Amino acid sequence: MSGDGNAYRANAAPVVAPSVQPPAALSLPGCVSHPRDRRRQGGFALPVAVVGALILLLGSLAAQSALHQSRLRHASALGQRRLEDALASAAHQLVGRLVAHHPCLLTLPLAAWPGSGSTCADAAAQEWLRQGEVPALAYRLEGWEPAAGAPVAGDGRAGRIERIVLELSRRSGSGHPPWRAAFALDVQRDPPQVLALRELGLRGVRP
Amino acid sequence: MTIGETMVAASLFLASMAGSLQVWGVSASVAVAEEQRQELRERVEAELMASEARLRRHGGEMAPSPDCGDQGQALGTALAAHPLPAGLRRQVSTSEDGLVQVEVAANDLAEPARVRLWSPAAFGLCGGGASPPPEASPSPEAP
Repeated sequence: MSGDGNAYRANAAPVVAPSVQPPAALSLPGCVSHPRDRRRQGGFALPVAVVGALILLLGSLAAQSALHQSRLRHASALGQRRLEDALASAAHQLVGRLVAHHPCLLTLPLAAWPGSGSTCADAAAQEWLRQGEVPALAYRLEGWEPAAGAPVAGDGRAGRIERIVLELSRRSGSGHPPWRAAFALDVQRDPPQVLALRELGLRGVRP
Repeated sequence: MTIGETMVAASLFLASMAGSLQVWGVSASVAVAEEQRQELRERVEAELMASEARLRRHGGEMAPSPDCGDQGQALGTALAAHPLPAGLRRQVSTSEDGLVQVEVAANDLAEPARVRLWSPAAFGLCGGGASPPPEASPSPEAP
């Protein structure tokens, strides 16, 4: 029996020994593991590295995207400020033209301008008033209407000052949406004179 | 885990980390530059608002006149006399009909200047119906 056992150990040794000691060239120094453990642990570094790289890549892309969004937002805000500048400038230019050349139109709504007579403003003058240009903007006069409600009292001359709502738009054809801006004017009726102009802000796009 | 696999994984991770750090660095520098540009834009905006406030204040001290051109010249001259904050540049010009044009830009900002026009007529300083203050010439229609 012992002879059989010795024979068994002698026969078994060459079979078991190679699996217990892995080749030194394929193992990490100081790392001795079972083949099944090696199969289970082997290759974990590469997936971890790939996942880490993807996380870093996504983080970079997110940072770039946030920066791009921020720049777009700032550019859009700047563009809107420039548009507000241009429309406010247009309002001042129009009021200056009206006051200096055609004060008779100050207290007339826009629809009544054509019937104001040639002594007040002929067709060419009205067209000159209805369309104009300021730096970076070609504009159109869209509305010149007395505000609804009672006349505004002021300076002890109640009933002689009224509120006019002025609307201007960016002329189409420039490739931009036709934004409108509204302004409120206090206009003295007799003698016709503008007393104050206030911005009411952009009113967006209208069809 | 083999040495080869470990080296490939380490190389991949280090390369992605280096690239990511580079992207983050560029993004941070661009963000700082954008923040500085935005601050300069705010200064330009503030100067424009201050210009309008100065025009209104000067207009309040002026007597109305029928001639918008003269009033505009006076407003433009008064506005140009105000000192300008460091880092900004301003150009004030007045047209014949009194329209005061103000351009404000920042020296370190590679953008077109902000432009505003102001008319003395919109401040009630001139026009065909311009008249002295109410207490000096009471209106015949006043009650």
